[in-house]
Amino acid sequence: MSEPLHPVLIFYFSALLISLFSSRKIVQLLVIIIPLFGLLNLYSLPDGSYHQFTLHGFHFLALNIDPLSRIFAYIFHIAVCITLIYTTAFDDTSKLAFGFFYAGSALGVVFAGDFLTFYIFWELLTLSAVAILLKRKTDRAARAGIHYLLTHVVGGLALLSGVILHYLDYGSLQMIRLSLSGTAEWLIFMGLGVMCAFPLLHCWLTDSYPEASISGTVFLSIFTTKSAVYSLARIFPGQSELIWIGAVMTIFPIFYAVIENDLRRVLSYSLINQVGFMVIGIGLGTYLSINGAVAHVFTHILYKSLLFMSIGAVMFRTGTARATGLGGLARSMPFTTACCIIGAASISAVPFFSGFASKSLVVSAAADGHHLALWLVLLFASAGVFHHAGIKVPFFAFFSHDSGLRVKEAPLPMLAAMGIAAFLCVIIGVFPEYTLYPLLPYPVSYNPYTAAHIVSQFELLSFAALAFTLLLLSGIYPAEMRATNLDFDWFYRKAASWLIVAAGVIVAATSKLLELAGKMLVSVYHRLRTLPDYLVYTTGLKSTVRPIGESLALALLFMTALIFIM
Amino acid sequence: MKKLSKTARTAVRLLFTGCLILLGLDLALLGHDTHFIYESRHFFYACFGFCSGLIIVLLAKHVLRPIVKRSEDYYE
Repeated sequence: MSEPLHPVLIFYFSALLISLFSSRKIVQLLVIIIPLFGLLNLYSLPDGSYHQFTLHGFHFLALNIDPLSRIFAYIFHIAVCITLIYTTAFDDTSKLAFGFFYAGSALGVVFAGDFLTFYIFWELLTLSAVAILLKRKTDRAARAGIHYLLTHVVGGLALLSGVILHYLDYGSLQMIRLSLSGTAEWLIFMGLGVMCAFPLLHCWLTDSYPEASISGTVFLSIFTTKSAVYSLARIFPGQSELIWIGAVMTIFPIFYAVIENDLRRVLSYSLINQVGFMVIGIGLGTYLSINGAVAHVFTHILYKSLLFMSIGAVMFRTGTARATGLGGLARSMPFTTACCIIGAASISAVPFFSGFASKSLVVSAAADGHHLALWLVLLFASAGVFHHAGIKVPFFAFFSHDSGLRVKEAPLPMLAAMGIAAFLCVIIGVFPEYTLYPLLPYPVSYNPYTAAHIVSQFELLSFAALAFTLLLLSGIYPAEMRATNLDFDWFYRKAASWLIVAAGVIVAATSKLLELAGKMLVSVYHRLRTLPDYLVYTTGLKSTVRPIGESLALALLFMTALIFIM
Repeated sequence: MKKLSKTARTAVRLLFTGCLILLGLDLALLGHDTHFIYESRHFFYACFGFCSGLIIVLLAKHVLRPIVKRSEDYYE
């Protein structure tokens, strides 16, 4: 039987194909046809293992299809189609080619059935993401690209080391479920943690995403962290450490997002907050929670790309995404405003929008497990995300004060892409049982639309909005300011350089001291050596005492060396 | 208090009205069949949402911003 067409090959071939065309109309057609063809190809493939071969004793499995990899692949196809339609409004075809390559690498990660194939696509994903970042061709983007690359190289090395140790332990590269029982597993876990933006390992994300081009940020928001979430769901489901790592991820970005001025950075912080929900779902490890994590990936890709696209459209027309330079754009860009509000409602899990259908699964799983503290954290994080992504982003971009900007509505391809994403956010939110839940890896018997659930969610969000309104009206809400807010990367961007200078001073001072000590030692050695000559000369002793002086000098040197060594 | 435009005044009134209606619905529909004792208390979600909003903003403004705020070109 012949092997089926690997979905990755479709995307990699498309990356080559699309760079051959310069006509925008043909390219716009291709970016719709290719992902649709990819979706059909994927739909036609039954679950199973394909493209297996053995090389130098290693067994490779390049295409492993099961319900978990399938749903990730579906949403990656949909997202790449929407983002590429958006991108055709203004970007050159080389950016689209990188987009296809980046999405193809993410598919490679999702379909890999062995650790080596997984690692190779993992690194290709990093390289294509850096290429997308560098395409903006600004100094800040270049710095962010280097930051991204260095962080991910370290994460990749941890992953590779873990894979090698795992192979030495088990003699197999097959991707299996692991638990944190040894060095190999911890190294793999931390490698995935870098890409998943675990707390303290997250700074590459908030540094790089806002510095990419308009379309680049949309691309980056879709694939990197979600590939890492997939990997955690595949390798470490039910790992209890993930619960509290995820809890921290849901909380700390909220505070940064409130004081951040750049709306794309606000969305980057909220991305970490949302990935936190997914990580918690994987950590809880029940069918309901893993379904919740996977469902949240699906909806998050749609509403987060919608939010980045709407702020990107604003940036395209006004040249800025900073809250201090925006405001009052709702009249100029009504369709973009509506799409942004739909994205904001979805990320805030407002009932009848997509986030509600997915986030409820994770929160219910925490409640079912009677994790009271975790449940309270999730409620707090839900109120927080509504505060900064649900209200702040649309409010400061489209309402607030009148910035005086009078611009045209976004171009048609941008509107089309945002329209499709907004439509999917609503349709999934209203009919999750027909659209989203059948795709999940485990059977779902969950109804988010009970009267009590709807009322409690509306109550939580409305009173969080009331707090925002009262703080804003009373002038207590922090004013938007042009500033850099220090994050953990300060320690390796600034403090580390100070440490290197301090270490240099210490090394220089030590070497000076050693030099002085050496000179003193040589001087003492010479004096001891010449002492017998002096005694022979002054006292008339026999010349046989001469070797005694030399022996004394050598013994002194030896003892000094011994003291240093000990 | 800031002076509001007519549209903003309408939006604020709608929000206040919505909150009042939700408190009424809370009394009618919530408080049964819960996982935790807190859920069975009426107005728990309202209090939690409101307090969360206040805590987030006050901590971000008075604790985090004074510690982390630097000039925009700090790393350049």
